[in-house]
Amino acid sequence: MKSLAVETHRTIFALCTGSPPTAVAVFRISGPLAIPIAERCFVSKAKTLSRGMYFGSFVDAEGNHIDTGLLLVFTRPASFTGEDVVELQVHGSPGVVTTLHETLKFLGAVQADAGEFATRALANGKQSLEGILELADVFRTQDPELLNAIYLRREKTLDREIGELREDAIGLLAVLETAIDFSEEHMSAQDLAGPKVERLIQSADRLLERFQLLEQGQRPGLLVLVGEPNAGKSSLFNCLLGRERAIVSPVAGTTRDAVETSILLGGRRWTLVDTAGMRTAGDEIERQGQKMGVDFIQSSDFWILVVDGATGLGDEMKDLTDLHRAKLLCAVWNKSDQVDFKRAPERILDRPVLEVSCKTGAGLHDLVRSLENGLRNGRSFNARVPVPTANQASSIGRARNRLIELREHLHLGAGPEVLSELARMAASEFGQSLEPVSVDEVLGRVFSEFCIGK
Amino acid sequence: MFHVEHPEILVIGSGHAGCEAALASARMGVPTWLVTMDTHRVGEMSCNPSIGGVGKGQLVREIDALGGEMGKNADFTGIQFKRLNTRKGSAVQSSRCQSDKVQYANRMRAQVLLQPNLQLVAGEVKELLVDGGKIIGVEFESGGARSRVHCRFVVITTGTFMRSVIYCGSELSEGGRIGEKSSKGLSDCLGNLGLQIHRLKTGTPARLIRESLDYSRLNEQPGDVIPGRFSFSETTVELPQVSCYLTYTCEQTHEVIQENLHRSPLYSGMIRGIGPRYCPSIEDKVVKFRDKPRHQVFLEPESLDSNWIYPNGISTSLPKDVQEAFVRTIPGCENAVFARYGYAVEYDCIDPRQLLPTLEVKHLEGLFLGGQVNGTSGYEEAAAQGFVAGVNAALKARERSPLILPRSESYIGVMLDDLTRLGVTEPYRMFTSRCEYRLSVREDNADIRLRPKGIALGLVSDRDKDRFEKRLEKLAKTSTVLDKTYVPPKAELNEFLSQMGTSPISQSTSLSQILKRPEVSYTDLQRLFSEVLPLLEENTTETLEIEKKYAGYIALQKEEVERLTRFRKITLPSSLDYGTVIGLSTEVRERLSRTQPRTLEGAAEIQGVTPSALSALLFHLKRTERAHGHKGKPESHVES
Repeated sequence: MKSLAVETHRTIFALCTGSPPTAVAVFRISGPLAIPIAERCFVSKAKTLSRGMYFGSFVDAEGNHIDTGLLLVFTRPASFTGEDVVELQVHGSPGVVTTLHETLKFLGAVQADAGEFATRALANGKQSLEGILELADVFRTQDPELLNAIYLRREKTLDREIGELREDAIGLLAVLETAIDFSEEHMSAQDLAGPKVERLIQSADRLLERFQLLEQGQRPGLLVLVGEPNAGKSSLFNCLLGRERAIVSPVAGTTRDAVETSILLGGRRWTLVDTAGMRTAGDEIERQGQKMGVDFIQSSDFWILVVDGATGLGDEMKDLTDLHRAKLLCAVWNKSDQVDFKRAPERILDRPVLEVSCKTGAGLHDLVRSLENGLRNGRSFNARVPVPTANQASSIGRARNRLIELREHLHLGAGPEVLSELARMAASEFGQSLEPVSVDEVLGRVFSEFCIGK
Repeated sequence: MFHVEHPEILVIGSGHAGCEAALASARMGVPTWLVTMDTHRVGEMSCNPSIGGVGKGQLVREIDALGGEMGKNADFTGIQFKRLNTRKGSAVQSSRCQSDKVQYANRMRAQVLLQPNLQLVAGEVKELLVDGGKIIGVEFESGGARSRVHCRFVVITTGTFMRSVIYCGSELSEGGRIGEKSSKGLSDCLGNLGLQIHRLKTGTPARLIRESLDYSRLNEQPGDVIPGRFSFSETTVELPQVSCYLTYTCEQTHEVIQENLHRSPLYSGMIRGIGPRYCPSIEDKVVKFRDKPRHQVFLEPESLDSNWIYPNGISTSLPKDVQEAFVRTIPGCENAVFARYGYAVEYDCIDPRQLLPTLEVKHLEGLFLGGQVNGTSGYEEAAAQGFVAGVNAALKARERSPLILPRSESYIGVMLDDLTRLGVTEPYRMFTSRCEYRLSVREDNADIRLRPKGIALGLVSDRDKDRFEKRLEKLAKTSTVLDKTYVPPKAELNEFLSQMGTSPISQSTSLSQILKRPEVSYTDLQRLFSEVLPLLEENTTETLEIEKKYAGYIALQKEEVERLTRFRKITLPSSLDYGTVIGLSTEVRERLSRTQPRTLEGAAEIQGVTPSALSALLFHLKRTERAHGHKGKPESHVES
């Protein structure tokens, strides 16, 4: 393969694993100097490095021992980037990582920019553009189910779906053009536009909804605890958090403050919010806090109603629950350990109700299982259909705006020559790479759908 | 024997293209011959007896604005006028008229015969004489004798007459129109001179005798009460106005056609030429639109002096007995008597991609081609090309710079650009959808767009020039008044607005803003504000209204076209190594390397270059630009 006009003379490197300390740290080097650099900082029985795996010592530029570890050599073009690539696997100690980092820099490797390895892979034909976009989405994915919806893009059904939208938009255009160019033969052609526009908008909406799910799946879900003061929201929050801490290692930097934490439930990462933490003493502030609770419900994916089992569900809370029933996951009847605890109703608004004692831990196991089930089943997206990429979604969005505008003009009785401008723009947005709609495409549809001519 | 003895320009063929070509060049002061096989056949309407229509009316007005003859000829010989798209789509309004085809041809012949500098000559051109890549004359045959004529420019406007074959069922005969000869030799000669020839097909319906039709079973279709005009010059509608009649085919009609399909030369495979999809024969309609229970048939009178009726909608090449059988199933035509049978005609035309936008052959100086011979269809398309070819031959003869009409200014420009850049796969007809600037390129403003060019060519009379300048002045003045006059929300005005079904104004508003409302017309406003607004001619009112009402859309259209143009004009560097572009198939790589297109658009026109190949190219360009560190020249900027 001929050399490309991208800057490939630089040899780049990066630490591929998380910030130390970690069990193992992996550095990756790519570029023409990858192997010579590795030969300078790695000592083993092998005299020269060729494709393969080596065990030996990593040394700094003066030959001082840094660590013992593995070296993997991929000779070009059979590597991720298509260049010579070397992977250095060492112990993930901060000291080792820092020294090795400095050594690589000293030997002439350059710290890679974000995405530079992938860009090189693309430039060298090792990865397609679709592949890179897929990788980017996979990286951001929090929800495991979403992975499938991303990989389904490979089957190209989405391209076909968008292609069909383009065809439909051209069909709409054909109707409008017929109303202009053959107004005498097809006087009612324009009347056919209305239903076509409706259908197009609906299809665009469906695709855009799917994209929203991708966006949702790329950030942790928001799970909110709501209840009257003293219902035990904070205790429940701590119980769920404690359980979480016990089973997974904490992810640094995800928890911003005491009333919000990151937990893993039902196979997905969630931000759990204790709305109780929002308020301190004082009437005015309390009201504000309640309002914020409502705001949280509105922006949440799901919320959990927490009720003091000794006092039961108050009227105000009942109304609130009714109002926000759609996102209600379940209700928790807390304080089952107390003597005046009243038995919970079996279901509230068709959602399960669980009796729990945060104090003794009774019922917590069942609650977690119920939450996991609820979160899995409550997932609103279908992992069996592909999700659009950000690029696709933004052009579908633009097309949709044109169609909405078109619908308004249609209702206002605008002429077909005006409507057709908007339809043409929508159709070209549905195309790939801003592909303009050609006259032949439109005329082809006109002649095949309308019987025309003297 | 000839009043023009030494022509500089020789036009071959006296149809709509030939007449415009010859008249234009003669009027520009260049001695011209118009050579035709039959001097009685000048300006003949071979098919339907009408001029204009949606998209075509625009062409007629443009020819007129530039100083051509077709618009005037149509006005003086029209027997029914109609404005199309008046209720919906006022920016794409078009004119159409039914013509008295006898009068139309008579008047056109008179124009040719009376034109100084122009000689009508009977004869058939057999060969073009070429020396050093330039035309030096022709060899032609007249009255059995061959002779040579020297001239520097030849304009070929032979229509369907080159190697034409007429099909009527299994009968076939030579001829460009029924009962006329076919021109032999010329297309061989063009082929020998390196022009690509291909074959197209068209057709015409039978003609029926008026008295044999039962008018009680037909639907009368009158024209507009006040007949419109094509020409920007002063013309009058002189002939009595008549109606057309509408009827429909029925299931029985379709049965007869289905049963006899095997006898159609189209379906038996006799005809190989490609026919127009927008002008299908009735057998095509029946086959392709099986579900449609009936098709419209307009019965159009051909002339006040003849009793022939043109049944628009049933062009056919079925055998005569089948034609009679199916026509007689149509309500009102049960006892139809045939004046002539329908037929299909197959003919030679040239690949117009070998022409410059001036219609001169790229590799053969002095040879121009215009009209149906370039693969188009329609009188108006032919006339427009004939005009451009004749004008450019004359301009070249006088060493003046050529007339090139940009796409953004005229339908003629769109047509010439389409033809010479993209070529044709079926007979090319004008549609408004071909014109991307159609909100600003309209019938009503054809003079504003093109009159100045006509004046510069010397084809517009002083009187017409004066008329045009007055119109421009009135337009500009009134437009300013509309923009600058603010009116308070007085009761009288608001009452009027609610009467018109639109909301009242609440604060001082400009007259332009009020006119923008679809419910308000200039005439209404003028009545209310007669102290500031002048009474205007209808055509000027129309231009003013459209300009004000469509201002937003016109801007939007311009923006969209510019966006697409930017995309298309992205330049591909000549140093581009297609071998390094990822995502192209080997085949596409080879084609691109061979063709070396200059722009992305050029690349898109290459066969096999798919949208995804274009994406790959775009991506490659962006990436190399980034790698080289320059921000990209303006022309290679891409919006995403």
